[in-house]
Amino acid sequence: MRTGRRRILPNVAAHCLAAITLSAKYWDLFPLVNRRDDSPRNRFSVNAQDVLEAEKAARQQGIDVVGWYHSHPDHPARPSQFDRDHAWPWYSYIIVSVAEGKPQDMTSWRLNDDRAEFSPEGIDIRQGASV
Amino acid sequence: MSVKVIIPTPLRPFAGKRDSAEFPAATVGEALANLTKEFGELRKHLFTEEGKLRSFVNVYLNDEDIRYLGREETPVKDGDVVSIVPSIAGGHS
Repeated sequence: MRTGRRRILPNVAAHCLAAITLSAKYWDLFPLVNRRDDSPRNRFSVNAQDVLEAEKAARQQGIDVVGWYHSHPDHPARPSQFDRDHAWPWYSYIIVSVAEGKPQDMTSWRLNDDRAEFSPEGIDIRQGASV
Repeated sequence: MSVKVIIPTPLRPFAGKRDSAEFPAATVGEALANLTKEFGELRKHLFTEEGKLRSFVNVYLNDEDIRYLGREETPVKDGDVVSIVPSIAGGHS
């Protein structure tokens, strides 16, 4: 996760987080391309074709896409209204705040079923995990 | 005339855990209308309060994005497959 994020800084980084849905024994990340060229520093967009390719790559490994992460350069790791307007329930949305090029906080959120707000999720970083 | 609508994983909890459903329809829009008529909880995740497809929701007829066809007025034929695929967008102001 760290390698991919730094490669794209200072613009917003977008990655697909893929993992087994029923256990956390294995996970992988698929770097994605930010298709926004008008305001790539604070917004990101991953088009449907890229989403389909990420899902296909995950399926080939026998895992599912369960969420997405992106960075908030020089901004808190909290979901914005823009994030909420472009989210679905079920997915986990991981946000990493970045200050002066260095990662700060990492939070994870799920959109509530009524779309009114996100609820925070706990993050359990296991020893040996490469996050 | 019946078309198959593929329901993406995140929305299956709102569609009786179904991964697809078949509906009679003459257009893509009719297929989506029938989908959200049967599974009402899906509607707010696909459409805005004004009834327009959300900007990050993409709909494919077979392998073609309906934006490059006739959008929701795109005619369908028996056996066609309609897929719903999200774009992923976000960031801060």
